[in-house]
Amino acid sequence: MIAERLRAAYEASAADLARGALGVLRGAGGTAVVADHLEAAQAGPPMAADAGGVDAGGVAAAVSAVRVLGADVLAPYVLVDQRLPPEESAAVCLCVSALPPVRQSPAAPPGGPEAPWIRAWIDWGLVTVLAGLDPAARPAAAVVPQQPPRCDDSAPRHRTGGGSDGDGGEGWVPWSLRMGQLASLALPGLDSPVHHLARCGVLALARGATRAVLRGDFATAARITRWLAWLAADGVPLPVNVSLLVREIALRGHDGGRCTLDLAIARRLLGEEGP
Amino acid sequence: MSTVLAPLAHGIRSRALHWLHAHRRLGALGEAGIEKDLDAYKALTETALAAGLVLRDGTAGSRERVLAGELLEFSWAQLGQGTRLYERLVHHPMKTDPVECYSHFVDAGYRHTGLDQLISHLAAAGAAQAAELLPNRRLAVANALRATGCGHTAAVPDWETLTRATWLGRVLEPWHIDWETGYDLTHTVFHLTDWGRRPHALPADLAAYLTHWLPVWTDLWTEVGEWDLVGELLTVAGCLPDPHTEIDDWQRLARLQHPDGLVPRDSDPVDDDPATRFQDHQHTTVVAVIAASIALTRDLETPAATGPDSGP
Amino acid sequence: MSVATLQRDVLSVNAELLEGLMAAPETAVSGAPLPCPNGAAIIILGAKEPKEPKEPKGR
Repeated sequence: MIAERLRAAYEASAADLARGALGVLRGAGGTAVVADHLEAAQAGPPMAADAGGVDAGGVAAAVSAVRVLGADVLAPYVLVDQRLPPEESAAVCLCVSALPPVRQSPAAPPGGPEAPWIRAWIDWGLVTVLAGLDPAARPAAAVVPQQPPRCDDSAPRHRTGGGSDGDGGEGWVPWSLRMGQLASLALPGLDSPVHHLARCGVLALARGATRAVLRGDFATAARITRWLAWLAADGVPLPVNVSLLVREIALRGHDGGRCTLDLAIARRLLGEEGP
Repeated sequence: MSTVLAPLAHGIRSRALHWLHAHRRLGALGEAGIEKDLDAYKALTETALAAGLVLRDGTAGSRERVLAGELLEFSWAQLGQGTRLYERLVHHPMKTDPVECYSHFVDAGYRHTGLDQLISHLAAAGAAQAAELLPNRRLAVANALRATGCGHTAAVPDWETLTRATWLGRVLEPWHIDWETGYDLTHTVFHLTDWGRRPHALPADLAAYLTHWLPVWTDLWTEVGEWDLVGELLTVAGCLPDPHTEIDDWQRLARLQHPDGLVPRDSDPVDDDPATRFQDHQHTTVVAVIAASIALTRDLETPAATGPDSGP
Repeated sequence: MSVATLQRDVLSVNAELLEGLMAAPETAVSGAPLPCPNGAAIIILGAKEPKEPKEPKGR
């Protein structure tokens, strides 16, 4: 299936980019990861054509990788307090303007579909962090999207969308998974209704991370753990030892790509050094 | 706890009891005795436990009470009115299963003088408590000695030390659990709370820990169809000072239950052969009776509140 | 690298695919711990248990 190959290519590019960002975080790699990533893609061989018969090229995958990672791609600069090189800022701006963020917030779930709304949040995160690192940058504006449904710890654990009457909250399983998808927002300096709900969803996040570890889904566990680490950095008391959790995931499930980047960011948030 | 639960639990229990009763002879001990058929011995003990809980708190209807009573009579007769238990302990005095088994019959009003004397002696000597057992099993022995009254001349058990020696008592991060540990956990709670009779015997930190993480473990093993363990986890929830389960989990249990009352232990196909069915699924059907009984007892005590887990 | 070049290339960025990756679900198959056969718990230097109880021996 062409779609499957495209998807695999986009995922591979994201993993590659994550490795680059990890390098910046560890002080090992170069400092213009996004720019390097795009240049490598432009220089590289063309990829599978998309359904429209247009040669998508490796660049499309590379740009998508930047958008998929969102603020994660800039996290190293935030965490290590490193200056963002101008070519890096420009490269990120290009990726933003190539597929501009939506001007109006999509309806939040359950009112609207998950995926466009999640993209709106990830875009907001990327644009906001970029503006923070480089006030002179002028990425396309990203609207603050509608807030997620709130979580209710005593609701049926798989209840989605906050109940048909709009009264009850969402169950911790879908709620924590969605927070995992928004993990790139779990960075110092960002604040939004999502962050407020994270503070209200401590138990749900801890349950979600525990469930993911036990299911052997370490990538998801690392994503949800990003929020736990962010909360810990914010001084919020937690029902789990996040440091142990990070180590558990690192020893049993690191992939060298996005999962490892998530864990490295989590460690920095916890004030721990090391890979 | 929601009152939507009660009719559901009653239905599950009633059907399960019918199945256990209808097929009880498949768990008969036969002439050769306990040592030659440990599986049957275990099944008889578990059945007695379940039947005793049905009779314990007055939530059962008259038909259920008759079935439970007949199951107890059958099991006690299979054990020679206690003689076979006594003989086992005479020949194997370091074994603790006789007192564990006996305690379920004592709870239901049965007694055997020989067992009383021998168990009391072994308890006073410290033998019953010293055999090297898993920590949760040590709690089983302590609870059985207490329930039978046979520990009255023995040293008072140090419940705190016994509890903290278990996996649960160490209060680990909640991802350090596996399938076998799941059962260690459930049994720890059963023995500590005397099968839900004494929810407040659970230390407060353990009750809080379980409230936090039971939903995770329940979800984990529900997803892979481990119904036997899920049933025990539901039972644990009923043993907490503040019992909390999801109605969805009970509805699933009711859907899984066969029309004849059998409750399957996992998502594998159920055999057609009656003896195999009994061997494979008697335990889970017993668990269903216990889970429902404890839930019904707690439901009765708690003022009817429309819990948030009752669904739309 | 110019905006024009990039924009030509990314006209074919599949927004749906992008969003699909952002909203990627958890793993489909659970790796939950399952029952192990008893033999999986070995006791180093432990005695091998006989299949049947031993009968007492006469002199």
